[in-house]
Amino acid sequence: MERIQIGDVSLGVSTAGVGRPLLFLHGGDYFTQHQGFLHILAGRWRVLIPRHPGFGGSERPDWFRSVHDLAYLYLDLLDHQGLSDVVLVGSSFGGWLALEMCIRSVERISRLALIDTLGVKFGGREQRDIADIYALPADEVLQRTFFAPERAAPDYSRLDDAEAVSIASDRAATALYGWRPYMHDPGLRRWLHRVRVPTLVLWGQSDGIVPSDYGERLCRSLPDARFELIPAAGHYPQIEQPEQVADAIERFGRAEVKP
Amino acid sequence: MKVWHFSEMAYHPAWPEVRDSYRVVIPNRLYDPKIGADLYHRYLDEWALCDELGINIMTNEHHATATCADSVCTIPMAILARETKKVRLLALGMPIGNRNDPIRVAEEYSMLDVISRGRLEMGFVKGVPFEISPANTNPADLMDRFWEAHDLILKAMTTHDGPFNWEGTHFHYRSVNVWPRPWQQPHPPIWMPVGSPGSAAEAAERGITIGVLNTGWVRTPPIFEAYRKRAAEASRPIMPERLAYMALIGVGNTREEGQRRADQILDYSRTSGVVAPQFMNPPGYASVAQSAQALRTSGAGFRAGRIQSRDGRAIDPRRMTVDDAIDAGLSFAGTPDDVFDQLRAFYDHVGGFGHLLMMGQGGLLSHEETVANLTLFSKAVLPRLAELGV
Repeated sequence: MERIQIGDVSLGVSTAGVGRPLLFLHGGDYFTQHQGFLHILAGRWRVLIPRHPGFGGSERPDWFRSVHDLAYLYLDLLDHQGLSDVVLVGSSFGGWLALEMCIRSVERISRLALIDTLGVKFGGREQRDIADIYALPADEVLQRTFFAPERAAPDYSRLDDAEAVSIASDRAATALYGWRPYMHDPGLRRWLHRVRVPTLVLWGQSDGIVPSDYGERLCRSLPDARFELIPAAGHYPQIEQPEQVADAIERFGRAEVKP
Repeated sequence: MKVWHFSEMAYHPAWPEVRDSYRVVIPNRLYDPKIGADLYHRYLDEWALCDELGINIMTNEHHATATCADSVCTIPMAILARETKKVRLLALGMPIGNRNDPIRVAEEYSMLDVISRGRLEMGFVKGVPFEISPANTNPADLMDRFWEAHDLILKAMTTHDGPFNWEGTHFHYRSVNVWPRPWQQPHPPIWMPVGSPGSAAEAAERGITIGVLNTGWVRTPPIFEAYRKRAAEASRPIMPERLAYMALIGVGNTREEGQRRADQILDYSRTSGVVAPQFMNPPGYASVAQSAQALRTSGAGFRAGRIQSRDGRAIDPRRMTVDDAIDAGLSFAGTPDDVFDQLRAFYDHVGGFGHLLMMGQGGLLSHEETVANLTLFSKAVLPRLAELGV
């Protein structure tokens, strides 16, 4: 992993592959389980995979504490690397960051792929759009997260020290950025019209964290988006169906831009 | 040594209905306000009695729970500030990292200090992990918020020349001007409960009195030691008055009677940690190392194994006996001689402390039994505490 200095943030970024740039923004949990998917992507794109500041035991400046900071950081990263025609892919919490980037600027971004994204509040004040993973029993969270948890979920009792520390710090960082308001930015829905870039909204058919009707609503709220369900997958379809997700992104990413 | 009587004002009538969580998710249809009113009044009567017995008063607060119906620690104190005349009043205390308005805390504490004519001791608490959900505060920066609130409250209580500006990380006011100002100058004594050597050291740096709860024979000495060490490094006087220890105390005319009282109080320990596991370790509340450990022992939460016997065995609090609790240093129980001897042994073991936080009521211990417990303690144990030399 390379360290790229952006202001006073030392950002860890893994890069792999050649060709058109693809920036992948990861979600709050299960980063280690992404290896298969990221390997496929790296065979097709020049992939950049940053670890969000505070995640994976990384440094985070004290002042750096919101999804807005993350959005500007990644826009700065694109500037810093001089990238253009970027395919931006975000999963779950990372999809929220991708949306926050795009409402600010799509200058360097030509395609956006959102995978089981959260970050937008559609329902009323007594309605919960996004399952409260901190208030549900651990077993239920697992069932809601994966189509087949017995295959996809790691065995925590077998983690070594470094992995356990990495996961614990991912969870603390997710809470820092997303605890309140819970996993969304109250203003974001009103600015989604600014996501002026062709968008693919991918959704695991069995996602119990953010159900697919939320995804369809998100799709309808974006100016140029289409929706695609991934069968036999939950909240992280790229972990459970990596080929399907990578293929869908490739078809979408390589398609001609509508005139 | 100063002694403080503490009760959580438990709403025990709901306990038989509880299956797996006394907190957070327990519905308040299990609370009958008419029974609750009777309980509030009897607990307040017991604290009011302390004024005659020469035992100081301690309250606390918890939220969304049947184990502690005191959800606002300053409310019983407001009543007792007027009903009592002599003893000191310790609110231990206000969860300032979970409350959204530190200025309101400064106002409540200042009013209490004035009404009581300077008898308030003010506690600032981090709060147990299962307080995060009821407050919906971010666990990942809880202590950062705690210390900013602490600094703001103290500045608000000690500034006497009109409004000042506060635009911090977590709190924003452009005109802080607290009325009334406190009776005690520069402000009432500050307390903080701590459960680890690390937080004891942080308190020591600032000269804050620490209250150590449920840490027992094994975990208390390193906490007190960390406090004394950092106080020395910070060139602060090392005073036993800065150290407090909480014990569940049952005293009787016979050993059997004292132990029976302790056994009922011990229902506090048997219930208060029974919480649905997902609320035990909110992300970022504990250190990354502690959370990593909890992850591998999935479901147990990082609080598992906190109560230990003298020889280091883990004790399940739900099944703890009085003998277990005495062995673990959590309880002093029996005749007045038994209680004093157990207290002295513990005192010597941990290197001394200046305050005994006496849980003199807990669980189903009745009003009559509580009055007998407190009265006998005041007559037969309290006078002997001078023998400890503090």
